Amino acid sequence: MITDFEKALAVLMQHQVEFIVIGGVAGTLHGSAFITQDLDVVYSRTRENIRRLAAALQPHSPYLRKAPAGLPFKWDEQTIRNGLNFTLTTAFGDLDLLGEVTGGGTYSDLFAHSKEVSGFGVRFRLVDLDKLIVLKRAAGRPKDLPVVAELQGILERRRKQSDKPPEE
Amino acid sequence: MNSHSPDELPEQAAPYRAELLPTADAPDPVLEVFKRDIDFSLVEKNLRLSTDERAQQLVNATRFIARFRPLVAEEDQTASS
Repeated sequence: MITDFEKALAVLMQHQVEFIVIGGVAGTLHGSAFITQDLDVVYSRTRENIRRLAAALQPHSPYLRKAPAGLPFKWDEQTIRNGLNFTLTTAFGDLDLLGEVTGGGTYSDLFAHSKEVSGFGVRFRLVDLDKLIVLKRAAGRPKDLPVVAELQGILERRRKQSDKPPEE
Repeated sequence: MNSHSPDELPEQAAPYRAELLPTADAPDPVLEVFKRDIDFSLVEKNLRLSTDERAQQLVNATRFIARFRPLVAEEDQTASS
């Protein structure tokens, strides 16, 4: 199922969930030409944020994406506290919620490597390009190699651009 | 001994060590090979857009896929039957 990014981000923002967008959507927003179908976010594990996250997704039928159909699953604060990373299907598509990410740590570790941006009709925090590349490299997945190569190319172009003397 | 009640669970099992990771621009010959096959003209076009415009482009692309994927699947089924 292809994620409705506008709906997913609007739901999280309406409930004031603290999160940072990483993964393919972050790549696209940094200029990547690869198309992604799901949304990956690192969420804060504070008690208050877990409460908000539980409330935000509860009405949207969250279910474990790789679990067999019919497996009992209850989306609430306790479930989030007992788990860490969740790959979910929801009424608005696939959503990966990460309490911790390889190469990036937790929400508070990543915060300094993120900035607020506009997109999909909302404002939200997006991981910066350098850190996104570090995350992808740390994940060590062969499928990410072309993406990492492209993101490095973007980084090189951005650096060249910022090295240029200002036009008169 | 490290014992925690569920309310006191540490945020991470081990401290996060950023200095052990390869940096974003650390050279890698494998990545250089992949770079040769990437069409950077598409990227350069994207870099001229705002973040908002890139987001809209992704929304349009995913809507296009969502609309046409079932039709292609239907065609495939018809062709194979």
